[in-house]
Amino acid sequence: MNRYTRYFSLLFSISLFFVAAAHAKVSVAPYYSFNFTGAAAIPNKGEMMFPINMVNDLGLIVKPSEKNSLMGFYELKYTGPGLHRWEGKPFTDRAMDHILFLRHQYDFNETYQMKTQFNYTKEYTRTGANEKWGTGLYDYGSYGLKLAGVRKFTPKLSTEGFFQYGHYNFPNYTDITEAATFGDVTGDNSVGLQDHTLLQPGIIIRFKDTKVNASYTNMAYSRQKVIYDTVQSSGSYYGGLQKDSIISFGIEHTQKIFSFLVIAPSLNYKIKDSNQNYLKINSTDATQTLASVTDLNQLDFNYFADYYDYNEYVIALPISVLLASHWEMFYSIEYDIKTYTKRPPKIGETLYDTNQKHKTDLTIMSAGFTFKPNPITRTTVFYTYQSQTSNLTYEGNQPYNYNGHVFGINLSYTY
Amino acid sequence: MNKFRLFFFLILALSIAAPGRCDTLESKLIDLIQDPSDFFFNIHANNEDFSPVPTDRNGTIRSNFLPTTLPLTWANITVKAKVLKDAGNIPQVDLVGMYGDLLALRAAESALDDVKPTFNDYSFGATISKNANENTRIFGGVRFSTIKMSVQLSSSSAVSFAGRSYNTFNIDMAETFFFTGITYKASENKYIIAQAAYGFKFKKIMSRIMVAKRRFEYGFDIFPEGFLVIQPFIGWHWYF
Repeated sequence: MNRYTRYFSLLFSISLFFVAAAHAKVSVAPYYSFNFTGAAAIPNKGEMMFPINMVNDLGLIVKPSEKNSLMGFYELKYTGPGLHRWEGKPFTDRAMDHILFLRHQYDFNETYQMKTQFNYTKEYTRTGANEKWGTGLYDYGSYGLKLAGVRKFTPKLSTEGFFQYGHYNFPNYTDITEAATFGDVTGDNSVGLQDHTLLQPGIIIRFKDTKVNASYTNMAYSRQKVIYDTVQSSGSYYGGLQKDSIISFGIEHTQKIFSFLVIAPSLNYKIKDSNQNYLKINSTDATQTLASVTDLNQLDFNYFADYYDYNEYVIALPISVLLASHWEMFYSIEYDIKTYTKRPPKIGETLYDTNQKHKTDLTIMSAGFTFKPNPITRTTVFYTYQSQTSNLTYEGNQPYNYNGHVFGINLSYTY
Repeated sequence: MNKFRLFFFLILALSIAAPGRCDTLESKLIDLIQDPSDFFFNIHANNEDFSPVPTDRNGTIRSNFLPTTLPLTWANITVKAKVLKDAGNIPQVDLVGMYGDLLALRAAESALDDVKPTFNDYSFGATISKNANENTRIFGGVRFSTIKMSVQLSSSSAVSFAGRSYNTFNIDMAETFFFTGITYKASENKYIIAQAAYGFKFKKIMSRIMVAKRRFEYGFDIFPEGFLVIQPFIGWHWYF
């Protein structure tokens, strides 16, 4: 089914649904949100930028019976160039996402609830306007299914256990490092290297205004093999397939202090473990690859085991102050500390400081005012200061040490 | 206060209507010269309006003034007709069509023998909308939008630039969009409208924020990847 047919079918289905609903007692509630941010970003490296971000959400909740409810949701998101949080990505990178999910919820009784959800995501990326959408190296598509069960112990205490399955496909991805190591790689060994399947069980506990969540994510790659610096039983420097896992834990609490002040501190902790290693041949001579030289020890190379393992803390403290019925002030500060457990920081084109571990600290401070002239409109004027420091000093095109100021306006229309 | 808001809006829109500087100005100018279709398509988009007909009306006639009719002499008209009323769980359905013509090009064709232009600028589509509450409506739809312009000059009238001679100028772009949006009735003769659209063929994103008053409407179109990222416009409409 091509995209035109898909979207026409969606529109026709929605129309048909309304006609059918006219002949049945079905309650329907729509949801819409349009969010636009325009800003001026002044980094200490590179030129001044005028980033644009846009999010457009459309949803529909249908309750065909007392116990059943259906929800459809579509999001179109554009993230323009700017001071991103994406580690090591140039400021000129931009992305466009289509996110779709369909959820069914069944209420067994006041205590137990079951949710079934189908997800679909398509992301396009590009590094500049001269690159066409659809050709980005990190473009991906994913689909998945999520099953969740909810138990309400009291009106203030509930737990949700969930299990999620997802499949991720990267149609354009090629591994430049692998090509440099092994020479030109073609055929099955050059495609689908980032394709993987995701399994994620988790739990969410809600008690009054506090939410605690924990999950374990397993990612199994279907083609990408683990590289070693010694010949494996397979007869090559490749071993088994790559497997990544992420353990994450988070806690957030919303606290109203007096009638006009709200704070919502949160802490998230993530541990990533991967069996993938890093191997790169330092010579740019085409004859110095493992395609022509069978013994790695005859080449100048860098090898680090467990190169992609890291621990990450994110601590955030947003504060909102209600100034008047239509005015609100906000301030937020966020720290994101990422430490690779085995990776040394890069200090030269082929040099690594093996006495340290690669660490990146990101600080984001924002403040602003929001004006709400009517029930659907919010206009926010904001200032953000973003600073990142890292012991990686050889950056190339990927900024690791920078700071920047962002002045912007956000227009939001939500029902 | 309304005049202040208008002034603020115009100043804001003009101050950020500069070409996006995330890509260098040079690279954007090169893109514009090599393929001006997207730039003219974005101006053509100012002529379109697929927001729904007000609940208590049967249709709308609309024309965009700035920046198309004036100063570009790009005349245009949009007609919207309500074919299904919003009742119960049945949504409102409007059929919409837009047609535009570049009058300066027609005048040049009449006045000058060596200019042979062709120009097609139209859109058509359908909008489905539903009242969320008495003041708020949510809408969506599909539209087909196209602009084609071709100007042939005789060899004696060819334009020389950067050492090359140009005697043809072609623009050809067509796109099918899926769009969604929201309208809010702020007062008796004032609607706030926000919408976003996605084009299937070129993966083009565009959006619009506007205020529609009794006869006039003011707003700006946003083209995140366009040469002019933010394009303010002023239009006129008549509800019947």
